[in-house]
Amino acid sequence: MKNICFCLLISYLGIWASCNKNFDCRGTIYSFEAFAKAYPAKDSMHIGDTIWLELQTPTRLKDITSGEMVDYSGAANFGTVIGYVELTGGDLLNPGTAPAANDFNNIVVNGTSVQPLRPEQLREFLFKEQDNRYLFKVGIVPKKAGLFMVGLDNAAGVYQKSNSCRKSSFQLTFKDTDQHLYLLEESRPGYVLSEYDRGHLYAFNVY
Amino acid sequence: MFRQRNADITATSDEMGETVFHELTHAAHHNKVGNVWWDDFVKAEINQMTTGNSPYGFGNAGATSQIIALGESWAYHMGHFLSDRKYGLISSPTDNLQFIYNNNSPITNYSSHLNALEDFGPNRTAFLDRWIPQGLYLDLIDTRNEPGPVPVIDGVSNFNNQQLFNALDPDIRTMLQYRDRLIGENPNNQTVAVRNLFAQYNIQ
Repeated sequence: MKNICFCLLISYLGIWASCNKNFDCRGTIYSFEAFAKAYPAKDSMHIGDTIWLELQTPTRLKDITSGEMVDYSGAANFGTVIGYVELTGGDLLNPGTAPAANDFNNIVVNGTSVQPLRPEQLREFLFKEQDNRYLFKVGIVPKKAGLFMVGLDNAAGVYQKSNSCRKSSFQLTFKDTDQHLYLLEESRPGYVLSEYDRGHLYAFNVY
Repeated sequence: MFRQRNADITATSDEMGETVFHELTHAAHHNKVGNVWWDDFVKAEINQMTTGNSPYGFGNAGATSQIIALGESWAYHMGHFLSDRKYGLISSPTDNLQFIYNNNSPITNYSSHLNALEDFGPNRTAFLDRWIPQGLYLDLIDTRNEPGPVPVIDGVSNFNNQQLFNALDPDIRTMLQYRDRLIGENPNNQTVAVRNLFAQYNIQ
């Protein structure tokens, strides 16, 4: 009898855990996208120069899955993680990258800086909401010379202050920006850039 | 094949398959680790059901969270991995709790299931289940070693699921213990890179 109860409990837990992803606000309801620019889009810069990363997107957004327009104002935690690596030279299996967030200063113009999980590699920011738009602008200032790459991460688990169950995800990618990804290809011969790389990465030299 | 979940929600074959593979992976894990381990695992999830992120909690409950991270990450990995094997690029969109993933996006020629694993972001603090590292195992296996810096830097390749399963011994109850057992059972196999990859998932 004990074994039967145990098995029933396991089955119940398994079904709960895996099947009811919308139970208790677990699942994602909306999938959105937003685009960032980096400028001036030069492949080389000096120590102390600034690259600006900027993102603006309306609070009324198109859900990628359904095509429905959604008022997604009042997001409680919409932001991104920006990662920094130095390109040290790799090959097909070796990414040839080393964490480098501490080699940069950040100037936050729009948004708020929050504590990242891996400070040697990442910086995390929350976006500002103003006039029916989400705004983000940060300046990246290198402190040392080298070949570097920054990455813009997607946003997951975003929810609204008015309804914490109305969860969404955002694909955040570069658009209308020369990302100099040939620098990554040169640093890592044989590696074929993925669509993810092409959307999220930006490479540059610092002298 | 469709399955009715709620009055207005249906599931496709690969969604059903992912659930079945996920649960059978739990069964195989149970068979390997025994009733004592499994009893603790079930109790851990029961204890977390009232946290507001049911049934896993927020990853801050010590040994309770650690055993959940290990058991669930392995099951999510195998659920998506085997669904990809079965359904490949005819898979339907899948929700890995972070995003709704589609075939070929963001990675071309990857099914929605593999994309869900490969794009898993352990450092997105807004994502409540980031501490259940379901993307780790595919990064140990695949040769698509992404350069990072987001979602992770992956410098490991060519492990296989049998090796990964072998390290799920009865005395392994945390991801850190799992890392050390995996390295111990596979000496001189990318040891530094394996440690670095686990660190990318905040396991160090």
